[in-house]
Amino acid sequence: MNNYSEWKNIIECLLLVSDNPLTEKKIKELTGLEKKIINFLIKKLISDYENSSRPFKIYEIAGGYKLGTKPRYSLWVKKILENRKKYQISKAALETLAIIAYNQPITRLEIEKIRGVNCSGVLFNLLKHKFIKISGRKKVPGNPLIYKVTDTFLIHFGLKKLSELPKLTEIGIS
Amino acid sequence: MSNIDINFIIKFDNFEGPVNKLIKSIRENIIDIDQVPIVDILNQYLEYLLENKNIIDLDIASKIITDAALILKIKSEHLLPNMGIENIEQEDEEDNNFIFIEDKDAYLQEYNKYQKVVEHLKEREDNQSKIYFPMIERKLKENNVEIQKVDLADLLTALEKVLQNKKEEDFLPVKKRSFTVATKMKEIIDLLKNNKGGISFNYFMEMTQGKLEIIVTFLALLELIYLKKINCYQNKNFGKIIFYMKGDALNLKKN
Repeated sequence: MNNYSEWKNIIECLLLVSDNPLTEKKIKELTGLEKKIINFLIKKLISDYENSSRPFKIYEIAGGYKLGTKPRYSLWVKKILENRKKYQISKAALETLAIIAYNQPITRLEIEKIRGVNCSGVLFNLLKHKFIKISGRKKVPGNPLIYKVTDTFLIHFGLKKLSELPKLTEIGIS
Repeated sequence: MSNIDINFIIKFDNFEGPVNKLIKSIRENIIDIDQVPIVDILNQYLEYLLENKNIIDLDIASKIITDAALILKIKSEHLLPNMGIENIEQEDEEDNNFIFIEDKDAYLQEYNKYQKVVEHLKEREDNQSKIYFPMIERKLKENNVEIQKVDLADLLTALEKVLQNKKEEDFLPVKKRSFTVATKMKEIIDLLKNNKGGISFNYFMEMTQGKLEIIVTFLALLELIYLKKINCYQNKNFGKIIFYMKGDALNLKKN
């Protein structure tokens, strides 16, 4: 058991320093532990943080895990990170992202059909900030590019996976 | 809405009333569409807009345009020669209108759904923006400004420079063209394999003769980048752009 608490600490370190959310697969690669054990240790870590008054929390995000600060302290954290402001997405960009997220892979024309306005500028910016990526070309006349959302998108909106978004049909009813 | 809506009154020979009433009258054959002066309606509408431009509600203003367009559609259809498909046409008139409205509603419904998603995302974004993740690694990368990724714009400016310098093309005796994008790509790869340190963009350009070869070489470079066979870096802004084989990235950084 003592051994496990050491492994738990190791995973905690990994979750702290990793740039991107760590997947269980990646942790397995790094530690050689079994997935079941990794899952157990992470669950333990999550509850450890939850039950303590530490200002951190382990977030399940973009298919992986990452240690981050609790929202309560954002006011203070913001002060020191003034020069590293989080990128705020415009309304048009949000709309485009929403359409891509629900219909991906999707071509520009299909997006524009729903939005009713030209989207090339918005798409360019989203690509630049890596919220979306080009995932190939559609096999129709003209071979238009098709777009998909990225992990950056999931991280920005705190989503575990795309399916966590509310279903379109459910939205229609409400 | 209805308050201002009624404000806009169309007046001509034997009719006076809002647009909806006009459409209704046309539908019910009370007014002959031939007798409806579209130009007058438009002029009255423009006048009305100018008078009320400070207080007008855009929703209403555009609604009137939709209605006016409908009148225009009815009239233009009426003016077109009848090709002997009256029955269908008459049904179509109703159908078209129906589909149009249904389409629009479906479209708006669809669009509204996304608006709700947008609200949802916005909320998530707000929540998420309060959470910070330590990013030591990324910070290191940011500090290390020595090496910068090149984007297409950098490459294009470099190409432009070369093309400008090469303006006076040397007129050589006509020679059979001995290169294609494919052969150039092979050439570039061979060169890069022998030069682990990377080769600058200018070097490639100096190898060329004539605009065509410059462009073919440029296309070959782009294609190789696209295929992820090679990478390119710029030491500083406006500096030399260096190309190297993808696998050699580590060597380069060590150097």
